[in-house]
Amino acid sequence: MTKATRDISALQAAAVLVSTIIGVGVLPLPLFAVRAADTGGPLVTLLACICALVGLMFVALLGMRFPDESIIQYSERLIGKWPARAVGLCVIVFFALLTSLTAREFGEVVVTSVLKQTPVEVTVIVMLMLAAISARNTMTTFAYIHFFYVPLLLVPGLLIVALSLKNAEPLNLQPIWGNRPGGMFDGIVTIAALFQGSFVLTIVIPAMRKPAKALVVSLYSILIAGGLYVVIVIAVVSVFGAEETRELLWPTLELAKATSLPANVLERLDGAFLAVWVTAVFTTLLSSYYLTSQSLTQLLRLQEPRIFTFFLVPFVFVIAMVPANIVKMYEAVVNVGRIGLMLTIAYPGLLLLIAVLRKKGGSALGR
Amino acid sequence: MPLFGNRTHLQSRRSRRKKRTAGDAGTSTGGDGGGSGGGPLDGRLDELLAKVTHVFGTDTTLTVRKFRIFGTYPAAMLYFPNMLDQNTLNETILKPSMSVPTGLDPSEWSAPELLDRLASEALWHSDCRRTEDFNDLIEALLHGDTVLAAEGSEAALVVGTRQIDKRGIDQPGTEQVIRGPREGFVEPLGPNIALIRYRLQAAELRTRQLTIGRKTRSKVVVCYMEGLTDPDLLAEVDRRLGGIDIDAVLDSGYLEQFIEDNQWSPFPQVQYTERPDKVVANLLEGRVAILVDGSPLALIVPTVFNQFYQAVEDYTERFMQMSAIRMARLVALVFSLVFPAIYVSVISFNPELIPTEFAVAVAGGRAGVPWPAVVEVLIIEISMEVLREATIRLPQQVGGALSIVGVLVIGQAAVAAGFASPITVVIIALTTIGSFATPAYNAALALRLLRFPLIIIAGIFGLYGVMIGLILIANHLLSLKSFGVPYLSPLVPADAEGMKDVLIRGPLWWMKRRPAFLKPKNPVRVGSEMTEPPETKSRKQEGAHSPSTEKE
Amino acid sequence: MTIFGQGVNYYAFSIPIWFLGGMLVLLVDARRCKMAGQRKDERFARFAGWLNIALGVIFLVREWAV
Repeated sequence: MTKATRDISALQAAAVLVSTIIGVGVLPLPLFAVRAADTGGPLVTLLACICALVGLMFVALLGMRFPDESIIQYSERLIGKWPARAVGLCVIVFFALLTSLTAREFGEVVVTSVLKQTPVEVTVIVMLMLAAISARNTMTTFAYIHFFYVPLLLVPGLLIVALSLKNAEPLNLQPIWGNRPGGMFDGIVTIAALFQGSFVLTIVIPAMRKPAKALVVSLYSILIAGGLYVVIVIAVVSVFGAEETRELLWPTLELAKATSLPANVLERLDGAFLAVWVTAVFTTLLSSYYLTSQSLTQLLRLQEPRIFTFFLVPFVFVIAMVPANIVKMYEAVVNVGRIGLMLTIAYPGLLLLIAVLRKKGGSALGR
Repeated sequence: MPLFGNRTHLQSRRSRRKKRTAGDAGTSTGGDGGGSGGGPLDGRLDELLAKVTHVFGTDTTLTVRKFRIFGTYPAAMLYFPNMLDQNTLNETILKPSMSVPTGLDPSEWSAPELLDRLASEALWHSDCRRTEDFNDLIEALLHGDTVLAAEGSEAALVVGTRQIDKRGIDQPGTEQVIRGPREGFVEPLGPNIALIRYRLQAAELRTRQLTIGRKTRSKVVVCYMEGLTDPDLLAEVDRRLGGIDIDAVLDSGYLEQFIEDNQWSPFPQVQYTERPDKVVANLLEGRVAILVDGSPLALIVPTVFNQFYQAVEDYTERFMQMSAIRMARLVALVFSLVFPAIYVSVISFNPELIPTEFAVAVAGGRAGVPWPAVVEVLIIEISMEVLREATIRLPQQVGGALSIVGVLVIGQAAVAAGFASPITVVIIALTTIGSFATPAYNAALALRLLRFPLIIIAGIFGLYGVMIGLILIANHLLSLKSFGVPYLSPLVPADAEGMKDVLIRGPLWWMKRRPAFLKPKNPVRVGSEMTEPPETKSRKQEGAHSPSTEKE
Repeated sequence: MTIFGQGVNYYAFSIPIWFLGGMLVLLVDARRCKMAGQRKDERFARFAGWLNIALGVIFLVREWAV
């Protein structure tokens, strides 16, 4: 557990990123897109993907320069011990917040659509305990878990999207720029925040067999996950239209409800869709929780990340229950996401710049 | 059965063991024969006999036959009469020892070399060795060998006369096949090793013997292929077996519980089999087999999950048919785990998933049942498990009929009485039959047990709960290892060659390499130049010829 | 009670979680670190466990007082 072994193949690393990104944000995604730019939703999503890709590439390049260390460790070499520790603590707090908000969002969805009589605390705590228990594994097992679940996420996701297109109306997608392009920047920022889980790459790279492939891995991951996001937005907007989508809190869920398998074998697939979505949220939650506990271990110079898995659960739970209702929760999600972008895109960019200027760090190509 | 030693006990013994000097794996040093102490023999026959009878106390089966070798030298033969064939004893040991063989002049033999010369020149038995240690002598007696001691000789002869009645080689009870060898292992070690050796006539097959069990002194044999099996795996097997310090090893199952990676996991990490052909196939893939004297079940390590739904016919029959059947088996396996839980969650929480026409029938069936679906399913499930346990112990004649009648009658009666709905009974019956389709009993057991928590979670949280339960199980499988090999290999981590044997059974000429996760030192199976079956090759070559010459 | 300008849902539910978290850390992790001889980790695990339990007690008191 404490010995670092390099066991993760590039494919597994890509699986980690893809399953982390595809998570709880899938449900309200079209709403954010359409709120920002009307029928320009797909375009906004695409641009947000590019933005997220840039951020992830910063992380990948940094990881390739310091293939044995995670960001908590090499940031100390770049900007000094105490500034790096301070920012590192911010990163950890941010990801703890992300974990709680993800868990809360998940709980709200389950309580609203499936288990209407269960208090939201119960669903949240069950999911948090599941993530906490699963975060007690080695890095290798962590990669195996993601690798195992990725097909379970992608196949039903693409299936539902493909089946829903039978109800699609391409006219709904026009005009492509949308009627109010002014809101685009906000939209890009909000949606790019949905990709922030990919920051877990910084602890994956030290465990990769060939860290030199990190850049390619990040490219393909964003391609796949972002591609799925774009396709989902396209499907929702073309089926419901931009105005109708604005009224829906979780448009993707509505899309699943409206879809049925050919020959009406199963109707109202949303129950089954939710079952698959539970897996997607679990992988995202696992990643952010794992990142939090691993980073905290490294920050405090300890050896055993398992200490934090149970320790953090009550904290994360209390923070998750802070927002009083769904509206407040989504306000928090958007705000925290925006602040987070500074940490996950601007900070690595800054570090990369410093690394290049100070000529620090080696090349991963030797491995 | 008295059995001491759990894992922590094992570990503390292991560390204590390290402090002792050498001694090979598993053999216990120090006298176990009632404190008589070991040590060399000293040539005085009467004292030796007194010592031996003292060790065995009031036991009446030990036989001491005193005689004179060649009529002159006083000697004695000790043995346990039920463990050997008296004729062998008489013909091959007693007779040649008593009558002077032609051409030899024993009067010039001195007392110390008497037994050695006897062994090399007079006795007609093929398995003779000398021993100078008293404990070795006692162990040999307990093993069923005959001990020959002479006055004035500081050594004794141990003749391997052990012959214990064994049952005939028969079809293994738990692993029946339609097409494939019908031989199964028996209890004694010798015939079992013979069964393996004649199938695998390779010089690289090695058998390494250990003795485990303080009181049972069971012989344990580790089989592997030299040059093929990963040496790290072998070292790990030796290490784990060497750490076992226990009273009795009555079955290979005892060993399994000591050498497995995770005793808390419901899933077995060691495979067992009664079939020699299965052992040989696994040895050729790079696995290690462990056989125990007295147990017809051989252990095979390391184990991965997909071995639990593979059967022998998969390989002896043709690939397309068996691929389809294997997938059916996999479906049965998954069903036996989740079916009742999904039924409970759909009925209780998500009835909209059921097509409307069917929903009416389901609702009608459940109308008179006084309790919620969870309780109903749990009651029927538990009764099913009890029934299953009972039918194992029923005597042969009554068993078959009673189980069928029992299931039918009880199920029907339960429905008529209003305990259960007909749908529930059907689902539980299908689930149980599905669990029998799993070839490996220990894996079927694991899934059988995991069904219950899943049903309970489904009753509380519905489909969402089932997903959580399945995620927990999947995560556990993903973190499990068997002797260092991830349990879900070759699915995770992905191994393209291994995938050819996971869901389908690829044709034999596709499977050119041994499974990579076993890290074999020689990964290519011999004969991999053969890429397609012979007829197609020749058919292509003779494409230009007329049809009449094809059948050559 | 408001935190960060927003209302809080239901504190009392978290009390058993605090105790459970603290106990799990103490019983499982601290013991394992002790057996593995990682003293620094063990001390931190003990601190973390007791902190959780202390916070649970504080929340409990808050529930009774308010």
